[in-house]
Amino acid sequence: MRSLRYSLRMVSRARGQAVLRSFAAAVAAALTFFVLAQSGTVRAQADALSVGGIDASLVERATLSLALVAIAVGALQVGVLMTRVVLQRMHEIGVLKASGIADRDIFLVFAFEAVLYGLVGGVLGCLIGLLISVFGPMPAADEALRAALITVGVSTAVAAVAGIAPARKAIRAPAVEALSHSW
Amino acid sequence: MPKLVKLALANWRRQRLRAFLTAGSLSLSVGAVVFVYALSVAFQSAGSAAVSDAIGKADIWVVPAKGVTVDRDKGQIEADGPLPRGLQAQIEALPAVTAVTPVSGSGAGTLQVTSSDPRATGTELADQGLTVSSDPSRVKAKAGDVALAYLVTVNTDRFGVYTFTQQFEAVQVNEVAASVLGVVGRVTLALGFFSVLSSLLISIDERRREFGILAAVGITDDVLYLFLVESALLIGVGLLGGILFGGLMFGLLMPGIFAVGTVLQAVALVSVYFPIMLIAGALIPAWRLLQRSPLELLRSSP
Repeated sequence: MRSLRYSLRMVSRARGQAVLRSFAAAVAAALTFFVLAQSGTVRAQADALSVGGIDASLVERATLSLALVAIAVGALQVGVLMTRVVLQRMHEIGVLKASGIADRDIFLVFAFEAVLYGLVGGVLGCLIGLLISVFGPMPAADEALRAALITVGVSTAVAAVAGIAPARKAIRAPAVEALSHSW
Repeated sequence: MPKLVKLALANWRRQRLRAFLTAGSLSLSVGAVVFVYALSVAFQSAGSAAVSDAIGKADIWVVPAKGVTVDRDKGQIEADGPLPRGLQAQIEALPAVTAVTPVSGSGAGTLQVTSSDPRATGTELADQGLTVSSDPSRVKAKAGDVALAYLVTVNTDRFGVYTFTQQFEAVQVNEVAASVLGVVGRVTLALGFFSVLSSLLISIDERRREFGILAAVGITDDVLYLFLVESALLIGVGLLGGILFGGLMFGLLMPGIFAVGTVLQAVALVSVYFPIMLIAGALIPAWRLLQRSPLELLRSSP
């Protein structure tokens, strides 16, 4: 719990950067939300596009899997940005280690930050997706809610997975080395 | 040159995790686009044969006012409604027309018209209440139209020479590009582009001091080359991975229409992005950084 509070404070110290960092995840989430919420449109288009030997459900599934690929790209981007965050705070990590904070807690600080980006990105994405939907048919409320839940869930989960490796990197360096990291 | 490659690889090894994640996200996004493009190309070739079959050697192609669609299962054109009765006789009576042939096997039917002066005949058809056009991508029947007539001529008013069949194919391809599938593919590529760009910018920004040292001892040009080779390797690996991923996805999801040639066409379309990414993500930022004085670079603490 303590590490989560610490992580939140770190993120709120640079709120603008945090929003920018969740942007990639947000775009991907918007796409997924749109595909899920507009499943009727997608199905109609799939029917129109189906080819010899390929039925419409395959085209539909292809659209959905492409949306999931997009969310994976967004999550990998969160991972790339976390490698930067870890490097930027190397000195801080050294201070934490030197004052006897457990590795597990430091790991949680960075893992939680990645989860936060995924979560914020997912919520932002749903809002963007709703905004896009204004131009097309508005999805039904229950369908939109279902799409939003799936989108935020997947976005958060994938960001959490992408954040593991950078967070592990944060606790790997010995305290002395981390402290003397000029940058 | 091999020395540069060795150095570049060493630099990526320094940030192995980031290089891996960047190449991975580029692979995924390129794969998505390869998949969508390959699907469009497959649709294109399915529609193309049907269109040239239906037109035959006609100069003018008359279709119902509702238009036609390509039935990809049967590989032929289907008319979306009936042609008015007596239209065939009406067209045959026109002065320049030499022959009117109904095309069988296309639903309610379309007409192939040969004429010694297609443009004059086109004008006459317009007088008879038909919408006449030589551009299948733009024409839309108005309410009360009897039928559409396409002038099957080679169009040279754009950048190249397009035959009528090619233009018609383009309409079919646009169907894929304009669908949610196409939009998803393109946004995914934009995401990958953004991801590679930000990753390259980060790795330049982290190495200001290093660049400063190199610039101070006067090897500015080599730094540029080194960073270029480094980025090119990363983007190249990402593209290759993406082509494999996209081809695999296409083969697994759509085994019925999988063809290596189709995937290769899609790859050719995607490869265009390689130099763009390289210039925007590596060349310009590195060059801009090296315009500053080495002292300033050395002093900068990130």
